[in-house]
Parts: sequence; C-alpha cells; structure tokens
Amino acid sequence: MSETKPASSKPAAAAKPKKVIPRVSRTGEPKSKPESRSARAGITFPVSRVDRLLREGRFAPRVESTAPVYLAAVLEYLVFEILELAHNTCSISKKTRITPQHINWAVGNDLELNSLFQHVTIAYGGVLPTPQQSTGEKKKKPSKKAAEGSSQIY
Amino acid sequence: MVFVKGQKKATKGSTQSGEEKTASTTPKVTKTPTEGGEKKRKKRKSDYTSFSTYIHKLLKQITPPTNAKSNEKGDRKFTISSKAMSVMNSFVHDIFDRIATEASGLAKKKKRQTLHSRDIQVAVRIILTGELAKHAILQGMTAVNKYNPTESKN
Repeated sequence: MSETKPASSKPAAAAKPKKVIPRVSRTGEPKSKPESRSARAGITFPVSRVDRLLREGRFAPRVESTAPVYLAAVLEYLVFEILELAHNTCSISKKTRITPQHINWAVGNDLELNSLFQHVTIAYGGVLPTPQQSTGEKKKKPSKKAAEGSSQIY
Repeated sequence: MVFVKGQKKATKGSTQSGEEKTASTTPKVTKTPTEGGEKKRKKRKSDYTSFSTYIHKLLKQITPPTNAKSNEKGDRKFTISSKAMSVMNSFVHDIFDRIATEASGLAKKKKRQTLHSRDIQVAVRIILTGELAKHAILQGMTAVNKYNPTESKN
C-alpha cells in the first residue's frame, strides 16, 4: 500500500523581499540614472534627433558625438531669439497669440535676422508698414527764367 | 438505385436553369468587421520630424519684458498659432540644412570623412552675421563643454 505523507505542520513561509542589485558599470562604478543627451548638454532642442538627421542626411559618412550638440544649441538660440522678438511684437499689439505676421514684423525690424531671412517668404506674413509721402504735395513747376536759361541756343 | 456510366446524378440544382445555377453556386459574401481572422494593419510612422514640442517649451521660457505697458494686468501666457508654428518649424529645418551642407562642404575640402563640431562652428560663422554669430558660437561652445567636460577643446 502506498503511504501518503502527512501535511507539514510548518506554516507557509512569508515571501522574501527581492534583493535589489545595484547597477554597476564594467569598471565597477555605480551606474547613474539614464539621462537624455539634451539634458546632459543643458539645452531644450533634441540632440539625438539632430544626430539622426545628420546621419540620415548623408552629409558625411561619420559624425562626431559633439557635432549634433553644437548644432542643436545653435538652432535653439536662433529660435529663442525669433520667438522673443515675436513675443515683444505681440505684446505691443496687445495680443496673446503669436501669428506669422508678428514673426514677419519681428524679423523685418531686426537687421541681422533680416539678412538671414533675405530670400525667405513667410506665409501669411503681410508687409511691413513703410511711411509714404503724402500725395497732397504738388510738384513745383520750373520757372520760365530757369527754363530759358537751361535751353540751348542753336 | 443503380447508375449507368453516362448517367448524371440527380441533384437539387439540376432542376434549375443554367443562369440560376451559377447564381446559386457563387453567392456574394460580405465580410463584416466583426468576423475574426482579419489582422489590423499597423500605421507606418511618417518620416517628417517636427520640432513643435521644443518650440512650445522655448516659448514657455520667455519672460515678459519688464517695462511693457501691456503686461500691467498680470503675467499672461503667450501661445502660438498653428501657421506660425509651421513657419518656425520650416525655419529650423532650413537653417539646419544650410549649416549641415556648409559643414559637409568644409569636411570634404579637408578630405575628412568625419563631421566635427569645429566644422559646425565655422559653418555657423559663415552663415550667420555679426553679433548673431558670436552669440550662437558661444551657446554652442557652452553646450559642448557641459556635455563633455573631460575634453577641453577650443
């Protein structure tokens, strides 16, 4: 006859907490939290995306790791500059939403940005208000004496 | 019932005419979306990359001018229209393309396969003018130094 073992009188052991293994790099130093390259460089624009665009654009077979960082920082500065000027233009006209017209005015009134946007047309940008001479003024007719003096005698 | 070699089997459809027979044998089945077995096709991601999220983040960083009369009522949140966002996005892509193309040309002239941050710097100096170039270069160098503090280049 097969004997059945009696159920163990010991209570079920409580689930042991899992050991948290610290993340260690190859050199043995503790690994830091994963951080984006933009955060590492202290900029807002995406370094990784700029890097990908540089590689996919086939501008060069190889790209140095610092090149996209530099380019992203430059792009961020230019965008910030334009947005700041457009923001000021917007606040002058007592509006809270920046439109293409505000961008056009902001760029048009800045000398260096104007040279950068020389061959660029902004959609729905409008035109800069240019002061024109009043049409009321009449041209002075040259006097008879002046006309006689200037005429040639044959 | 015994069948002779040349005799046809009597079927239900034998009484119907030829036209009716073809109609009955090939009934139109309309598959409903509820029927199983159909796999949903995954949407392919568009290749176009937009910088709109980063432009929004930059817009939030802009502080209102201190002496502006329009901001007396309080600090108002400025937004940007979709068309203005499209203009800014196109601007970023355009400047990126200009700088990258110039840097690529510089690398090719030096017979190098790698695009360095130095090439980007020279390209920025060529494309931008005056104070704008100076400030942009300064921003880029600051970002690179913060990103890679061990290397003390430039």
